[in-house]
Amino acid sequence: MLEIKDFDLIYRTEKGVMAALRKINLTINRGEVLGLVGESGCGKSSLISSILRLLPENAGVAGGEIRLGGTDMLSLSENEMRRLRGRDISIVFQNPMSALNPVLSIGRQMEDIQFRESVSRAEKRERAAAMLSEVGIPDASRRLRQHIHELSGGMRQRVAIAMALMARPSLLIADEPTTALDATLEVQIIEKLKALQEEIGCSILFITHHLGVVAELCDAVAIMYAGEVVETGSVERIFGAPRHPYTRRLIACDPAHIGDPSRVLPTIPGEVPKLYDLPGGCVFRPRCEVAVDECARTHPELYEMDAGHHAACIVARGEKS
Amino acid sequence: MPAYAAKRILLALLTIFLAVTLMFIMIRAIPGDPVSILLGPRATPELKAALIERLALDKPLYTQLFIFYRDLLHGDLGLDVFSNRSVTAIVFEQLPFTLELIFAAILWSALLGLALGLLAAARPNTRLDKALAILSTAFVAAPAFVVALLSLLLFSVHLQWLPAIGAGESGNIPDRLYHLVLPSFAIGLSWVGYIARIVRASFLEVLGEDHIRTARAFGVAERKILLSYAFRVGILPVITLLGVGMAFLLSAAVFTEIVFARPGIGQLVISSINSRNYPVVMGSVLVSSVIFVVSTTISDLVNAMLDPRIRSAL
Amino acid sequence: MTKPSRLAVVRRNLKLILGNPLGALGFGIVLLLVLVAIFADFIAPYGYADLNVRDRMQGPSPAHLLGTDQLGRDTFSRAVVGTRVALLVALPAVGGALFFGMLLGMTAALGARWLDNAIMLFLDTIRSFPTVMFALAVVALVGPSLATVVAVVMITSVPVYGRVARTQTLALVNSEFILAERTMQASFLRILFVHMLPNIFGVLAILAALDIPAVIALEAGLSFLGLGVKPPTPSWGVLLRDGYALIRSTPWLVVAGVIPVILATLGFTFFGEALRDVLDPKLRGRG
Ligand SMILES: Nc1ncnc2c1ncn2[C@@H]1O[C@H](COP(=O)(O)OP(=O)(O)O)[C@@H](O)[C@H]1O
Ligand SMILES: [Mg+2]
Repeated sequence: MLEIKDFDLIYRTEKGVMAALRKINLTINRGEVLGLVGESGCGKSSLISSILRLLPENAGVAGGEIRLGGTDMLSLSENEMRRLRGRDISIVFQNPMSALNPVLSIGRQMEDIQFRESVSRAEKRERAAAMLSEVGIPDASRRLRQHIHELSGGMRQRVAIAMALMARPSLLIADEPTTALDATLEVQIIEKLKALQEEIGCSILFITHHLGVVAELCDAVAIMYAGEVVETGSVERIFGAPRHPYTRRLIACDPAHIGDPSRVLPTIPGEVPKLYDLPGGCVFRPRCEVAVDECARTHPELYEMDAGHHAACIVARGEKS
Repeated sequence: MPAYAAKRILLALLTIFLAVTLMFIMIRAIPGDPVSILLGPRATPELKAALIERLALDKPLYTQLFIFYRDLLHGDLGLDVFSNRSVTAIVFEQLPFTLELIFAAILWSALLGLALGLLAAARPNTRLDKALAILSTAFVAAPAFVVALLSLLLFSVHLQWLPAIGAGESGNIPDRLYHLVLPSFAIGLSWVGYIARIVRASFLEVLGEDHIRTARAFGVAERKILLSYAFRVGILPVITLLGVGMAFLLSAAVFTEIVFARPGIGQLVISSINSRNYPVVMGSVLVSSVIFVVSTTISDLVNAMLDPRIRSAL
Repeated sequence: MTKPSRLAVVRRNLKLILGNPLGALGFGIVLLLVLVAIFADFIAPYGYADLNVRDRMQGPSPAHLLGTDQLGRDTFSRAVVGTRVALLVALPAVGGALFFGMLLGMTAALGARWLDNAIMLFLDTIRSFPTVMFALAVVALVGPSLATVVAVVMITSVPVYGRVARTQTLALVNSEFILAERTMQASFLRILFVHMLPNIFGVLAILAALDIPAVIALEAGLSFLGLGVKPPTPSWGVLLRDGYALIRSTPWLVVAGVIPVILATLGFTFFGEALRDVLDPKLRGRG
């Protein structure tokens, strides 16, 4: 479905060129839910902006491919890309309060994104209302007349999800859709999303800080650290037998609470390296407890640990599984 | 919206009430007796007595204030000392000339400022943008009366392309427009700069906001994004600025009316000051501040109409 | 980490301002005007009121760089001395507005609720008069003079400073380092003088720098209307007034009056904006 190969992204900044994403490799299969986990600032949002090709002006693609169903999206024209957006891929952005237009009504915005449908406005409105009801918003037709700031946090998030699912996309990207919500609301929304995913059959790239949410919702997991994917595998493998020391630290911190959806990514001592001048070798080495001399010299790739389970760690590759 | 509008209009009325009171205090607070001040050097005993009678100057201060309010409520700004005509009539006779000038200036400067600002916002940090920034700043810095004098010197006296004096023949619309060109140019020039700058800043900010990215992520056409998604948000600060701009233009109009010998409220004030006709001065100043309050109120109401966040903030 | 000395900070900021071509231009003009104002008596080749009826209304010449007026007075000398008048009005007026605005704004922010409301309402009331109209009302009542112009400018600018000072104070009161100082039981006066005043003053000073051109223009404008400084004091506005009266006979008087006004407003604007961009880019785009 979605295949990212050796993707590199840079930002040009006053301090110099910043290698924000380096050699990203990721695959999402049809109907699969992939959880993308990583500390704030590790490049998750940059990755989804790259997939949608909605990068800020100072960003630049330095190499790699992003394929959706076989076509390399990086080589599409801007017009072709626009045809994909909102039809094949759609997105739930991080903060729905700022992600929706503040002065246009929710209904107006939901009508506008149906510009591909050749039906009447009234019909579009009806579909929008139906979609709102589907994500669990009561009194949908009244909501359509309201503006985003008039809704509560949970309702805003539901509206954002409803908009993204309107076109029944084949890939849904959700950037921390529940981070701002309290635990009970988060559970409700995750369950709704799960049900809708099963009904529509789309793939989901789900970005979150919450390991519990990943365990709840996802089939596969990718762990990111400082602009790299350091481990990928099925939920069972990652939570049951993590191989990268970073993943291990994340999970080992408090294994009993993995299932608790309110759990936030644990903080690990040490500093994330600066992306302007990266040290050679492994990016996690400065914080790593099991690093060996070799780690300072060789930059680890995603080595296959088991079938479908990869980790970018020399030490782990040496270990027996 | 009705709640917001009611509150905003109430606030405007309160401001006007306070401004009127401040005016009253100013007239009484300055040293000297108000009768001689209001009547000037031509105060005859009869005029004095009539004025004392009218303003109840022999009564306590609160009675005077009460009478002052009561007269204003009836639209009565007092009597012109010399002609014995009502000040209200005199001021409203001149007002249309000033409003005509201000609207002409706002119209051309808003359109040009909007165009230049959008141009700069469309190509930020290019040479064009930088050139426009310098130009806008220079426009902002140029005082209206200096522009008026220079354009009078160049276009009327030297090149003799445009008329130097008056507002044109009444009823002859082309002639009146012809007489509006230079004065409205003079007071609008700074506004081109102000508006271009705020348009650029505001639209650049909006175009960087998340909701624009969302619209793009759904494949909405760029034209539509600019014209309805960005424009509806980006224009809001411009409307506020235009409301405040009324005060600026009323001030600038005074100079321009003098330079081009145009009738109008500025001309009226200056000639009244020179003839020490204080009731007319005070009446004109009050009317102009009411115009200002009304225009900021209108721009706030328009903003609230366009921006649901303001409406529900109350 | 040692704190850089004040002088070093000033030097660094000045460097940044001069690094921007318009900032450098603005700074150069401002410096020039200040020097001209200070040394006006040495620079002006003639006395500003010296009559010379034989050389009336001349164009520019080596003897009279900007020509002469209807009484044969040297226009260049009058423009030079006019610089002093312009700055003598602008600096105290803006300074006073800054001072009273800061006082009122901080009182509003720190004082009781009713006091806050009363002060803000008062400031809004003053603001509801168009500047020039208000100036004309005052001049009409108390008569024209340099002091009147200064007072009028001060009064009409106070609302802007007051508003900003109030907002800044409120933001500071809730800011982290003030809270930290409070928990450390620092005295109110210490907080006020060490933390709040310098911060608020900084922001207001930028506004003041941006305000100076408007004030210079207002003084010149009022003098142009014959309602500013009294003759024979040579304000730039007075030059323009004479020039306007004689515009059909000679363009030089208008030109001579326009040059310094434009120089001053542009110079202070470019300088003020460069200053703002260096010290507080957040203020950008406030109209
Ligand atoms: N436009 C930009 N210019 C420069 N750096 C950026 C830009 N956008 C993001 N970054 C930087 O790239 C890194 C990744 O950011 P982001 O993708 O937002 O991370 P995440 O979503 O994981 O929190 C961060 O260090 C961030 O500061
Ligand atoms: Mg993010």
